[in-house]
Amino acid sequence: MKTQLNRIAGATTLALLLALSACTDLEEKTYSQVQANTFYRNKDEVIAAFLRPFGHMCGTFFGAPWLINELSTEEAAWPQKGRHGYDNGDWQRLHRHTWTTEEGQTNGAWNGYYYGVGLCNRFLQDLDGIDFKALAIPLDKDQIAAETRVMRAWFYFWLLNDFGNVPIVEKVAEPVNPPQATRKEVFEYIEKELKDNQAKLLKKGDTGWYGRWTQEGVDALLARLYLNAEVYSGTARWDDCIAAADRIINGGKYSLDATWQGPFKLGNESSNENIFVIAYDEKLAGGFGPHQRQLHYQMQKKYNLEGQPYNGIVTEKSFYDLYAKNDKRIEQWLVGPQFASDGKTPLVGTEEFRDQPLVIVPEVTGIATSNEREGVRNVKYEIRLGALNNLSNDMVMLRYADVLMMKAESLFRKGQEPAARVLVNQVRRRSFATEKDADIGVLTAQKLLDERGREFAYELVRRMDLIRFGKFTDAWWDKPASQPFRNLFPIPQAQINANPSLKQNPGY
Amino acid sequence: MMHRYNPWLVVCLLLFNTHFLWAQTITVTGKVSDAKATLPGVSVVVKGTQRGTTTNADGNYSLTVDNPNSTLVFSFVGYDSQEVPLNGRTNLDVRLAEAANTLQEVVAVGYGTQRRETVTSSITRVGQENFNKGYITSPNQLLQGKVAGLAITRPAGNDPNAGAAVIIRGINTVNGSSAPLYIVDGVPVSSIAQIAPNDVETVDVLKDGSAAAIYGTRGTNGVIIITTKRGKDGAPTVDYSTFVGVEQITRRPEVLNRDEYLKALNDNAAFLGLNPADINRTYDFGSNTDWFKLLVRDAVQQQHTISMAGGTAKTNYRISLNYQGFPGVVNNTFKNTLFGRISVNHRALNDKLSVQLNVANTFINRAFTNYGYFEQAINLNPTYPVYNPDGSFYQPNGFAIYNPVAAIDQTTNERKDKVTLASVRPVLEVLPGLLVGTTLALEREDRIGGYYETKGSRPSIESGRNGFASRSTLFDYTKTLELTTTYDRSFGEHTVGALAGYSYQNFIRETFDASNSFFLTDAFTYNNLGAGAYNALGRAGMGSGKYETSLVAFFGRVNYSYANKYLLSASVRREGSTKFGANYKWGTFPAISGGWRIAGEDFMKSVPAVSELKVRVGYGVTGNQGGTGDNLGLAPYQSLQLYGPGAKYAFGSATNYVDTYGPSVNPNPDLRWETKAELNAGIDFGLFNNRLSGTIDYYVRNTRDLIYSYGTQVPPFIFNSITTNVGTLRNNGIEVTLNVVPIQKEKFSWNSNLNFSYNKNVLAKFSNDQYKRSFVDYSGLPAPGNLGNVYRLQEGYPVASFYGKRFKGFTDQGKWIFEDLDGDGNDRSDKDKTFIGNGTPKFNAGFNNTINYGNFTLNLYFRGAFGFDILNLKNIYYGNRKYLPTNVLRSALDNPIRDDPQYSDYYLEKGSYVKLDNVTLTYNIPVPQNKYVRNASVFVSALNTLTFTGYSGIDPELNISGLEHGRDNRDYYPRTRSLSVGLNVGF
Repeated sequence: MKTQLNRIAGATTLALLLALSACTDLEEKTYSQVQANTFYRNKDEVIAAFLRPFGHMCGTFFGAPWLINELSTEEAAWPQKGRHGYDNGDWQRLHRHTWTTEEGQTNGAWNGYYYGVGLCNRFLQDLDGIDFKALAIPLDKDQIAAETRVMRAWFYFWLLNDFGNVPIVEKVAEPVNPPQATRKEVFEYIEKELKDNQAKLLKKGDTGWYGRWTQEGVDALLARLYLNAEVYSGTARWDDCIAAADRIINGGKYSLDATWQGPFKLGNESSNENIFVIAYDEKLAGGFGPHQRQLHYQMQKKYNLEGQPYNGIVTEKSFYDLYAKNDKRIEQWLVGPQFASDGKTPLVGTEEFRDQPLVIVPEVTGIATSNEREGVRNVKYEIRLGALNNLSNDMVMLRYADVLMMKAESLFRKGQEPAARVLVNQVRRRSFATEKDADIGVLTAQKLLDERGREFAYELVRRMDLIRFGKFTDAWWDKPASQPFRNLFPIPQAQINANPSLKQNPGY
Repeated sequence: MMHRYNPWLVVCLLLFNTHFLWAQTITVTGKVSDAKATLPGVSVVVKGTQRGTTTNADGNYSLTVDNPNSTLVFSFVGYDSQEVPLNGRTNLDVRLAEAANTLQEVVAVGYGTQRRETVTSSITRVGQENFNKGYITSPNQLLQGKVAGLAITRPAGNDPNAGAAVIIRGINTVNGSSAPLYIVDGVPVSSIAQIAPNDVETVDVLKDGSAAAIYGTRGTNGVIIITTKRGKDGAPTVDYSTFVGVEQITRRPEVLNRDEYLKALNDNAAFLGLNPADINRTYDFGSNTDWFKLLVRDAVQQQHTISMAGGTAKTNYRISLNYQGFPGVVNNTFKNTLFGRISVNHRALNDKLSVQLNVANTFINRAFTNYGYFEQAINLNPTYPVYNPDGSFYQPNGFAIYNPVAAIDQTTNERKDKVTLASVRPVLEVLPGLLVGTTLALEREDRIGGYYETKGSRPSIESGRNGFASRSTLFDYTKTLELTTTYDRSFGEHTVGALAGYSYQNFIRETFDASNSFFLTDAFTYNNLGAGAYNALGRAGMGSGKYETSLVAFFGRVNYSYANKYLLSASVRREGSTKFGANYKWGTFPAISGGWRIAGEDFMKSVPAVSELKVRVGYGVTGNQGGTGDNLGLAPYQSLQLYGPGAKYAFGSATNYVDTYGPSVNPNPDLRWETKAELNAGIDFGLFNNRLSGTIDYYVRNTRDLIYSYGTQVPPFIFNSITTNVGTLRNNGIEVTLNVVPIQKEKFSWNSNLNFSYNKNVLAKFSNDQYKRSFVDYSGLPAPGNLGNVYRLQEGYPVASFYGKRFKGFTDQGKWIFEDLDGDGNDRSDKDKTFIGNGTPKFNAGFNNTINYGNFTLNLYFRGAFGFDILNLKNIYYGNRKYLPTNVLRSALDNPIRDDPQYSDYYLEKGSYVKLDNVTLTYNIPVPQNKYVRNASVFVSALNTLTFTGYSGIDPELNISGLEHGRDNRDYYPRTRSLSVGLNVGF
């Protein structure tokens, strides 16, 4: 009995000791995640990491950046339609320029841009340790590094445009509380990064150029940077803008599409006008759903959409009236009685005009007092019958028409109106039946601004245009004049809370 | 806990102590009484046998014995047992003395038990005699309203597939799970789904830090120790119990019927901008549909339990099978459960080795509902028909509305679960008083779900997807190894106890899901995923994952008492988790508590009115892994740098999309435990022979290093938040439990338990040197309108604080006017918002009564919650006539609102309520001595019987876990009262 007891006691003690030695290990084991230190083991992983900032654009630009850059202008609005669309007053404050320092959308844009910056920084830091030869990566390391730096400059461009005075950071996690650079310094940093890296990039037509940063893309971005240089840095750079535009024009690789809708059609990768796009795919690369945001609920039946749209963003009469009846670009707006996809069955309202015919009218009573019928709806991007919640059309960020228009504006600013007018008419021509109709007449600043509005509606340039023309703080249909400090968005309070070295933009 | 005539205990005593012998030699009769009256229901057993009986209503008993020199054992709850040798007598009257104190009972303390009188921390035991009865869907429900400081609510009413919210002493974490740790027969478990309520013998609730600290990192939310029924020495017994119940709808939202609806449209035509001539043509669809009524049915529940128990001095066993057939009151919903449990105790090696073995297996088969159906029943036009003339379902036209009767018919949402818990615990007595034990346990939960929407369902038609099917599986696997060594000895007046142990738990979760669409036929439902066409189109869904975490701990405890008067206990646990940062994987959780049993002092002998008096103080540190999600707690891997996918991107050509991968989280190598320090002071007392006894506790608990997602510096970090430890939550409160015996007569007694708790919660800190958070707004109001967040979490305020505008009045046109707090002329800017209420009940109370009269026992269980506000979302959205022609609540026509909804304190209501929850009347059938039936009783029982409240909504009993207290949503599960009749019989 005693031995048996001892044996059991001994076995227990042994089990205890074994357990103590074996079971104090607290290393985490991952199964359906991948840890950084086990990544970069094959060429596809490296390519995937290089493309991560590109993929990030898909979920970013059509979100908060689009909303703050468009809904703060007279070009687009998200009015409250009865019980719908109040959304905590977010859209009304954007429209009336009464946004606070704590807006979710402003903070979302800041986070989205710097997320992109961070992904670029991370990859640039990781890149040092990757042996391209050993992994047989079919890319040039210098070119990849240069392109990632250009991509980073692209995110900084939007920070410059929206927030102005922002920190320039080139490493992940350091320094912990980076100080701001002035808007001018940010401008100079972007200019230098673009110029330093441009020559290493692909050119249009090189294998795999589509959707990527090319030398021509950098010129288009430089042109935009210079066009707004006076706003960004205090010094106008019209000649530099013209020079950048000329490099593209003279390169001869781009041309205007035959119709105004060419750049926005389904399959717009075949457009010869688009210079830099965000490449979307309805299944693989989602994030682009203008139809969801802009169409009335019942227009699901007009396009046999997979999901019901949410009747959000509309355009008010004063902007819609910029389009002449003979301007083909007016076709990008839905107005009047609406029908199902058969073209016959009338769509009916579901809210204020429940079960009555859905007739879209351009007048909007007010940003807080609208209804389901009011405001024309933009369908610039072709919506295929049976579209999913995301579109496959690539989102146009820089295109040849803008290169021409940027050059035209620079010429106009330099007093060369006739040359400018030729370029403007060149862009207008396809949208009118005759050359005569297409002629804009003697250019004025107002005409130029209106023309840019007509051509580039909903393309994320209206705010920078209005600011450049000194019109952003003017009064419009349901907005009183606002203070000049509204030309910059505030540094989001959440960022100042996190990083005490950030200083608020003047006026907020 | 003094329940004199409680039939349940009697049944149990009989169950374990009675059997029948063939030999019959002597019949002994007699009467049992106490100092005042005769005692019915007293157990009388022949010592060393299972033969016995109970006294009848007059206190008389009659018992056959085969040996005239047998000894009879008389026992009864609340009285000292007495053994009386017969010495040949055939008539034996006995007078029982009331127990010196009922605190003699034993309670579970974690890795052991302790006599209640020597316990120095805050622990409450509830025995099965005090459990709620009837239609009980979860073991938690047994305890509702029974324990001061333990708040349990059922935010989804009697939905058989919904769980209860369980909170001990307030919210002590801001990042999710406030659920206590459950220990079942010594094993820390992830789920209590494997326990049939009928198999539970006792539940001990470890409330304070000094009690829970032995469970270290999972002790912060308290510990609930469940002990299941076990076999005892004696002849085999068989018990069968059953009930059949039916549910009735109690309250439902009052919406306009057809006539009221059309009248409201006409009356408000001008306001709504409708042309009166058009109203009937446009909005009258010809029917008179009561949508709510079409979604529900009379549900008849049933439960059957059969248990077999028995054993010898060396081995005993209990086997039980329990079937619950619980159809929900909502059409097409159910939960059917089969529980099986085997427990065996075995002694060997001269009684030096004991082995306890438990195997429990539960099979659950269920069909879920969608609470959104009941929102549709509010807002649908009552003139809509349910069916088209051709018999197909009618579908209305509009934003976010659909035919819910069709949805129930066209949607299948089912799941089958299997939960297994197997454990074995050998304990060896190495030396007198020195025990070495090992617990090995395996817990496994397998779930497989299936979902199908038919080709004709509205989502299928609208999205053109032609049927949608999905399947999902979840596999949880928990391995437990615990080693303990205990030593208990007394040396004269000194009693010492010591415990040392090691614990290892490993958790694995594996998940898989797949979905497909575009089916040729509805014939397969979710059973033939491959038959859909979406996978070929690249649009089918698929996912899988696997996670693993481990917890490792070393722990110890010493108890010391001198003369049963001066009590001291100290424990420590050092515990590590894989989930935390490399530098902070381990935490140390100490506790110390002491008590003074004043009643044991000589000078108290002169105060006979005081039968028990003890003061105690405890301090303990516990941890919390934070986070939500069953056994995983805080999501694992947050201290690691992980890479994850972004959107795919064109590469090589415009149409060739490839993966993109990059960092997916800001890693936090400093992530560590949430730590709670709690001071508890209490007093236990018994007066007048324990006619009045009770417990009072005061506590203050500070949880620091709260795990939360804080805003980081962007740049240089990639993501705008990091999961880290910042901030402190403070809870303090008082708990009072009183047990009173107002009436104690021969045929009539009344036992009463009153418990009351008060808790105050405040977010004491929300920042540290590195991370600042001025506030967080959370819990957005839904579309239409998206009226903003409901709550603000801010330093200095409790969780679940409503933050919004203050209602001032209406304009003559019925438009909102709010207080313009910042005086800028705009009454609805951000600066006009302020703290307008709180959704957490400050007080909870329970009032439990057991009344015996003859063979009848009546249980009346009240519970209530007080001092909180409710935001009534149904009122915000549907108590507004501007929502017409969407249907609205009747109350919409009584109020002056002529404006779109706005969130303000106008919609906050006082939520205090009292519920007469469980009423049970039991009749103990006097069973004459026979060979077959030992005992029998029948009962009728009601649950959720009556609600007393000023709240205008359906039910003020809302969620109390998480941070969204007092938010009464638009979608809901209908509220019911259940009535059941049952039978218990022992063979």
